[in-house]
Amino acid sequence: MFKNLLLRDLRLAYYSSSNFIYIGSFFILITILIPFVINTGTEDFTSVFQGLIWVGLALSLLLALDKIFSSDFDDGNLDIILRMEISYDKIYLSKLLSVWITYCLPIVIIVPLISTVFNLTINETIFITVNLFCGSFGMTATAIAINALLMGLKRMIYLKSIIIIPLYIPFMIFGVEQGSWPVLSALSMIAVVVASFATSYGLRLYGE
Amino acid sequence: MISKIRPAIIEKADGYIPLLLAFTIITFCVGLYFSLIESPADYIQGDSMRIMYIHVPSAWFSLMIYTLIALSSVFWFILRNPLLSLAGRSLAPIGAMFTFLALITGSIWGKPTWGTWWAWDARLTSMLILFFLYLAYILLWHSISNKDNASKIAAALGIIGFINIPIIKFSVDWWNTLHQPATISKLSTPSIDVSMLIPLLIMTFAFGLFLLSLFIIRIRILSLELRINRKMIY
Amino acid sequence: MDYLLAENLSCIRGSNTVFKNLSFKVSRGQILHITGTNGSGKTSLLRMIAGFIDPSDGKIIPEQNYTYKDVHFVGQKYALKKNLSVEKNLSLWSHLYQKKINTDQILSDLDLAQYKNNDTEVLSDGQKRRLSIARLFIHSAPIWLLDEVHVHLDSEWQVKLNQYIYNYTNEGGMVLISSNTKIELNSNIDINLTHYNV
Repeated sequence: MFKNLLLRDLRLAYYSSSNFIYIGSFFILITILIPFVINTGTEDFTSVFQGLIWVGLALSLLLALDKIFSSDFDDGNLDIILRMEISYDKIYLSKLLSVWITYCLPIVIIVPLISTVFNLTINETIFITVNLFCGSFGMTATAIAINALLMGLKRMIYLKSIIIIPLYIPFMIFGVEQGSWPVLSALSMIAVVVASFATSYGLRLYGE
Repeated sequence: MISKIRPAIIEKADGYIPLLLAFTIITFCVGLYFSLIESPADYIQGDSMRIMYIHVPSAWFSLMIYTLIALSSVFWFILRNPLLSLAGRSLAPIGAMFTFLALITGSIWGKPTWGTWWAWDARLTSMLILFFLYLAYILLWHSISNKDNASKIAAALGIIGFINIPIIKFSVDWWNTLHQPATISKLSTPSIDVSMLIPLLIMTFAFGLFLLSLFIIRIRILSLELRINRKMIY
Repeated sequence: MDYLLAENLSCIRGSNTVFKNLSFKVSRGQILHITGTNGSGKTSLLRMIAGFIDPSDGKIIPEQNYTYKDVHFVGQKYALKKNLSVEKNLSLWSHLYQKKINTDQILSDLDLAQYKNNDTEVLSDGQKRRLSIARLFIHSAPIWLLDEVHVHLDSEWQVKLNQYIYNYTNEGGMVLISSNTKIELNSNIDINLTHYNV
């Protein structure tokens, strides 16, 4: 059942405009804004690029907010999902995986590919990719939890973003530091655990 | 399942509001007298440090109020008393106001001390984020028209935000030690003289009374509003 | 499951009591028809039986051996992704219900074969409703909970839908259906929720 829900969500993302090509192009376009807005030496490029990676990841998740639970809630598919033989925790885990694969994995894959353009050394590329991998789960979990609580509020991306961005700050701070993947993993773990409670609470509220 | 709001408690408190307000004003006058006239000026910072008597209490209360919101959220989950969600809802704008006051006074203090209105100091930065946590909580209440639903969601958000405060504080502190030169002097001196402590305590007390009166007035208004709305709908 | 028993059900939304002291018993092969004015709690009652809402008071029996999988809830929302084709929508459902489906068969039964590759957006409300009741044939469950599914259907299809319901109850299914307009349905039990409103 878990696998079915996961496959269904991935298929839905593939059918609608959230597949690899869309997210990847969106992310690359965000990062190539750097040369246009910064015209100093390459050293600035590198540090701004590292920061913008995280902003791009956050944007990709924030723009996805209306698709996590909200659209299923709106059209009635959530009624079907909640009546499947699957616990709310498993629904949450499946969402965590499908949202991560749809909105974070493309970025984790693209970053090492385009990092040479921004003069990142091999070492820097490895650390930022590892950081992205470790931190993105927590950020995904946060987005899912807030959206599960607020799924009735469709097209309220600004409100949801105002709630979510402060929660993203710790990830951002550690994300750009070399060798901080253990802290990021710890943050992600906290977020994943707290979000599991919040999500099942949100799903229970939805029924009412 | 459904617990009635007991307006008796709030209505009883209603009569004391003028008394409380009078007491608040008197305490403020005494506190301001002590902090502006009676206490000595700082030997390094001069008179500009007197803004501390406003800044420090508002910073303390801004954190305390978020704690109170989180506590009322936790107890709301246990007791399901609508009064608790009203408490959180009425505290939030007060907390945001105190946070804003702490930010503004910190910034005014920063100008003569650091020579700049804003420094990315760990405390100021965490305060700024705290302000947005308040804002998110307030906007949440604002954008959900069904207040029964809003109280359920706001309670969860209050707790999530509270869990995040120490995490944000920790990461901002860490970030600050890494990126800021250590030359910036800390806002509060580690040891404080008794002559400065007394006005600070009086001002804190005055702020506490102010908070209490605002809180009672707001929760009174909100509970009346809730009762009117329910009468209108049903 | 041979019967569904509701004892003294009450539904409270916020501080408003929608209905109270509602009791009924439905057995296999029976149709329970719920009527009532707007806001009398028809949808709330069905969602309560589906397990989305806990009863404010009273209970629904059997509580124990009654799992989510036993109910098939078809609500007023169509559960369709409007910018995906009819075929893709069916395939998404088949994932959720873990069933292999014969798309062409279902679509020709529903008289929608020519729309197979069209986005569901272009379908009329009646056609969307027809597609949404296709879920009843993808997944089989002992209880159908149908919330105002006759809305938007033309008279020919209302009759067809009733025929589906009769076939299902003849095979031992149990149907709880709500409606706010008059429908020609030979139900075994009728409940007018307006009488239970406060």
